[in-house]
Amino acid sequence: MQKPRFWNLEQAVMNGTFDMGYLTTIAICFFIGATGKSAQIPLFTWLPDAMAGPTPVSALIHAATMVTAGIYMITRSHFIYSFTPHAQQVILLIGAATAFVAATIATQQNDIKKVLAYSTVSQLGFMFMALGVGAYVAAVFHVITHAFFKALLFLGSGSVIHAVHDEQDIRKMGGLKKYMKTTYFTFLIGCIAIAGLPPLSGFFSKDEIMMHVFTHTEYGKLFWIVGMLAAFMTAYYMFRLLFLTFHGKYRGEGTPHESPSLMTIPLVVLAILSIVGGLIGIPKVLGGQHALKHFLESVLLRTAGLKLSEMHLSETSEYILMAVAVCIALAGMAYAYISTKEFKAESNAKGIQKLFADKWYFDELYNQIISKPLIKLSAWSNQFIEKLGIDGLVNGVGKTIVQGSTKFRLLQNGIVGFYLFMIVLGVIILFVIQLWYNKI
Amino acid sequence: MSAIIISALLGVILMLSGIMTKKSNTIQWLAIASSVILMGASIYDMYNLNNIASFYNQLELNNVNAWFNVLISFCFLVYIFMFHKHISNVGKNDAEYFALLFFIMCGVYLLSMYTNLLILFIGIEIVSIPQYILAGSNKTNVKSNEASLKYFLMGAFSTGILLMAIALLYGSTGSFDILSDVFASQFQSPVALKSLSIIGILLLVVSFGFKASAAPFHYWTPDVYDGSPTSFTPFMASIVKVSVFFAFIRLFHFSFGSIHSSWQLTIGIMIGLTLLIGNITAVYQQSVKRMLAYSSIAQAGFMLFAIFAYNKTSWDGLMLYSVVYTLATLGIFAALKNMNDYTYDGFNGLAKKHPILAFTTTVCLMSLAGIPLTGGFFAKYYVLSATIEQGSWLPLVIFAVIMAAVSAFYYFKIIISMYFKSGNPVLQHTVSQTDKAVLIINALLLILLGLLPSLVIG
Amino acid sequence: MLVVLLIIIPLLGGLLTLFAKQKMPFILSLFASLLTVCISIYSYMQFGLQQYESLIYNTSWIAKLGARFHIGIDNGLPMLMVLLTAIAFPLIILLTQDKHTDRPATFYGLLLLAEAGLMGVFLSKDALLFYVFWEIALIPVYFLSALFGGEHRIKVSFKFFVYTFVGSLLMLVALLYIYNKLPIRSFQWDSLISTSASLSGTEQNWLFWMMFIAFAIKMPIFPFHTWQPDTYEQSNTPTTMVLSALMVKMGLFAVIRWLLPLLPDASMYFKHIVMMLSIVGIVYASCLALIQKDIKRLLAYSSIAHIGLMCAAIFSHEILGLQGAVIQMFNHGITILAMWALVYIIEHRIGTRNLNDMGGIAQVAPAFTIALVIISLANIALPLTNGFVGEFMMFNAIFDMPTSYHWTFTIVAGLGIILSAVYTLKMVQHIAFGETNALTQTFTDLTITEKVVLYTLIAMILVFGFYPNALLDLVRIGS
Repeated sequence: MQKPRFWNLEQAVMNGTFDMGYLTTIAICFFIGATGKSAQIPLFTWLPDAMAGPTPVSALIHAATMVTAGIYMITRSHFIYSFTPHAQQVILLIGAATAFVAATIATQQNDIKKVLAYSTVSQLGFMFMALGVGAYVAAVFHVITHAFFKALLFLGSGSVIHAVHDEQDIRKMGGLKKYMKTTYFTFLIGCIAIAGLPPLSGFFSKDEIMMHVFTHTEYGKLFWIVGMLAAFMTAYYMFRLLFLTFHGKYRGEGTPHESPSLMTIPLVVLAILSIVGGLIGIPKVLGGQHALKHFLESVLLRTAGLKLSEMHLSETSEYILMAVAVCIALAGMAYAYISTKEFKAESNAKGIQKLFADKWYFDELYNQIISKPLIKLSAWSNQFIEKLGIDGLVNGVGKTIVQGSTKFRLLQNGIVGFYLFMIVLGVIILFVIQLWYNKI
Repeated sequence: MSAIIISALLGVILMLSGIMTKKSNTIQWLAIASSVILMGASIYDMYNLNNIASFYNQLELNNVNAWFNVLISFCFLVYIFMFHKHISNVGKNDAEYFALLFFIMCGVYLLSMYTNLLILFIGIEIVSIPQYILAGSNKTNVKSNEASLKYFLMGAFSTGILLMAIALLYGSTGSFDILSDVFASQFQSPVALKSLSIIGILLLVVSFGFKASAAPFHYWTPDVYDGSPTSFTPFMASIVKVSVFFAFIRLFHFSFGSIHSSWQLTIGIMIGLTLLIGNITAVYQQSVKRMLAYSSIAQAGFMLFAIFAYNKTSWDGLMLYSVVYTLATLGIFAALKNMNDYTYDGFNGLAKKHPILAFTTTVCLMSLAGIPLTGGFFAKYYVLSATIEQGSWLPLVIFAVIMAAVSAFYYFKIIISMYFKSGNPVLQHTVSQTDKAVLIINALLLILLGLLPSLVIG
Repeated sequence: MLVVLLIIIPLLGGLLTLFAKQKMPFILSLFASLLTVCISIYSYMQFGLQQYESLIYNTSWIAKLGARFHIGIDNGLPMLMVLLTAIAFPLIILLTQDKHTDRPATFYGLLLLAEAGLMGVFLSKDALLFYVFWEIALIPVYFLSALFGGEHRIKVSFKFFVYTFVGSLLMLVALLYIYNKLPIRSFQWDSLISTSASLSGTEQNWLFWMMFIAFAIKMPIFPFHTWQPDTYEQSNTPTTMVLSALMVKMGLFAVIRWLLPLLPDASMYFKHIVMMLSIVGIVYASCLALIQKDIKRLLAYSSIAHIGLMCAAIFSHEILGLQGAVIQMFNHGITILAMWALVYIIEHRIGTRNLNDMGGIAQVAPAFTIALVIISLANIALPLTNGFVGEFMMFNAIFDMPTSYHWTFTIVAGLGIILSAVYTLKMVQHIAFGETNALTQTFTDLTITEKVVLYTLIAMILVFGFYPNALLDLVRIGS
């Protein structure tokens, strides 16, 4: 057998070594691994909880780089997915669902890092949508731009948290704009970038994904709508966050202060990257070269006969879609502005809002269908199978022997007459058996 | 041949010495010296084999039984070394006890060398009758008296059966001489076997089974072993018992070997019952002495495998088993005789106060349980191996090893008491340095046999 | 002669130690065990140079039976086991030095005797000798766990003893049966395996179960495992280390070395049943590990799960699975040794093993926590720890099996891995994180000797995690 190098695998897939079902299973299994790493439904609940770590750690690992490993993996093994449309559909579905669900949850969060965390999940959902339609370049593009602005936002939030003495609840912030200018402006840039306004980086990458989704088969438009809804919410929750944190009056305790330059310089650097990051992938319609696409072609097109997803879209349609996207982003911002204009300290989430606020009850669901039954099963096994069953059986053997002993002991009653009777009985029985055996 | 005569003579001398001196010490020394002489005599015999029947075709001294005599004399020597003080403490007439022991030895030699059924009978009686007396030697103890009477009554019963068996065999063959052609020709093949012979053989099995305390003829054993003075129980349980086994295997493998199919089933059933009753009942016992009585039944079950399996290995197995079992039994009783309290709790904490005693007892117990590195392992190994060689009786072997595991249960209870529980064991007697030395040598011998069993079966 | 020293040194050292006084037992035993390490490393070098003749010792023992004193290192399996055994003991002895019991002579003496027994088991090339060592190894360990340990130790260790004794007696009967089928009287490994062809199918089946039960009890495989958590819990931790790192490997070792070659057809025939038991055991034990409060019980069940995977891989009858299992036997030994060392430290610092009573140790003892985390990750078999390669190979083998069950087996066994992460990390969380309490506040960090022990083990965890080829090459020689 050949050694499992990537190239050999690629060749094997190309040569049709695997049958369709097998390959699809492999693809799905890889994808399940990716959902864990990249926080997709159903394995996404860990990511927001992992925000308990220090903010720079969240920024690097949980937002910018590590969680995108799943995207990278699927892109790297694109040759499998290109042959397995069913797996791709699963990815598209999961990606869209995650993008949407995570965005809804983010709209109701009050912890600054939690909002960003769910936003990450949602953005990862976008990337998976791209993978689901075979737009690997778009996915990687979004990975890159997302890394810039999400790192920026996280570090910005870190700066904020630092400023307000380790407070993470945005309801207790507000009006920070005047205390920390650098943080505010960079954070604003991050928000615009993630909301997808041109010419910041997020616009290009997200737009590319949505275009690809739009043109993807007959269902593509449905998914495009879902994506747009998620994009709307993205703009909404990011600006809600921005407004609640930096605008209005300060609602917390103590006096906030700007962070030292050691913390602000990276923010500025990341802000610049967030602005210009989109340049590596400006589409043709806007007169760009899409450098990234050419850069990746060497990998993605190495396998002969394999084609990347191409858009079959007229330039006009592209312009229209872009415009729609921008409008939706603006609408989201506007809605955020309106809704946060008057801050209500105690707002009880109701109805669907409560569903969002409680994260669609995913944690509870897992608790109910996995954790609790597992613990119950374990406790049950411990009591009934382990203690009563197996150990009971093992100890039962010992007990039976001791019990038998107390019974056999009764034979030894000390009466000679009885002994002799038993001996005679024994002799007779032995004789009968032996003589019967000898057939006499 | 000289061993028989010398043992009888020594018995007489010892008996007379009771008249000459009342000094217990002198008598003890005399007994030790006598046992050494006996040992010498049996070694002398081994180097002067005639290998043919002698004494009017009544006795035969060959390689195997001469070696057995040496081994059993050695065990007797160890027994006297260990117990001489204790024997003379049983009652006033210590010279008589020693004399009786030497008479029993005379019977033991007869049992190992007989070639005539009548000599077998005489041997068994010589072995048995002194035992009845020894069992009751502690005259002030009701249990001892009871043991003696019970032993006598039931022994008489088995004697009757033995006589009946010999009579039937004589009836069917017309000879007592097991080496004679008339006798041997009757037992060439199972097909032409007379029913008279079969019943005779089965009655022989019963009477041997009785003496060897095999179930279902074991009933006398616990009561007698428990009731007899602790000095004599180990002798009865070990030396006498193994000599009965030797007589058993001699007759059944020499004379009735070719027709083993006609008696094997009976022995198989006896093995199963013996192992079951001996081991299971021993589990319950609270008194170590009574437990050892049941354990001796259980061990008899294993020794019966040697009779059961008709091949060369079973001879080796019985030889080794005899020595190992005897030494181990003697070793445990040697510790037990010093104890004030015969229950398991009496052993609590022995390892802290008397580490040497605890160690030697542990080795003996492990040997009885058949743990490797002690002779007991190879003893069990040989008898089981012999049976497996026989083939087709694997379930019985499996049953036996499970019972061996059960036996570990009650043997290790003593080890647990000695090592893992705390207590303050009181000893009746102080254990002298010589006693300790003998015990250690005994334990080392068991370990040596566990490493190199070929020392015995070579 | 070299290999004889591997047995003789611990044996003599143990006997001497039993009678030593004051500080001497520790020094003597450490010296003897270190000497054994040196010899095992020298053997390893000889092995590497392919000087196999110098690693065999063969002399007459019981001529009449055809049993010989034949020991030797003839392939990677005994080599690895010998190395593991040799490495384990000085570490155990070193770890326990300042908190020895009131009877150090007995304790260290028995430890060394156990080492001699274990070495014998791993080296024997003669079935009877193997059996003898198999039992001998048990006795000192039985004494260790019954003498030193928790309040129920006597009952529990006795159950352990009887349980394994039953098993080994059955094995003896099976060995005897095969032996008696031989045309010549010989207990030699080579001659015994040559007989297997002459055994009928039914015979092989019977013999297989008699031997397998003996090994299954030792490993232990579900449902023969119930002695194990109790014994681990009640024995004192150094004894548990011997039991868990080395003794249970005897079962796996015996399966590879004796059972598979002796009864190849039956092992093939029953492979599904055995694998099913093993794999059910993985999930079952992992589930039980989840709810344990006592760290020792938790690790005991975790160990059952790991052993289950090794057993399943062995019975996959794939060469890769066999190699993986052998590697994992070594690596699991290392990891679990380190784990028990941590348990030992915790136990002695705060006097409890209940997870609910702990917490916050990370704040007071960073070095300890780092060690804990690394070792725990190794227990989960994360890549770059020693556990990964073997586990990967084993899964690969189970999946590669040419039967229709391989999917089910792999997936169910995979669940065990997930669960292992759950309970191991839960344990780490309970021990190290959260708030400190009255008990853990005064938790002092690692002492020098503890560092020596733990860092040695961690070094091995990492080295074999980064460079598993060292082990792989060894194992390849054997197969």
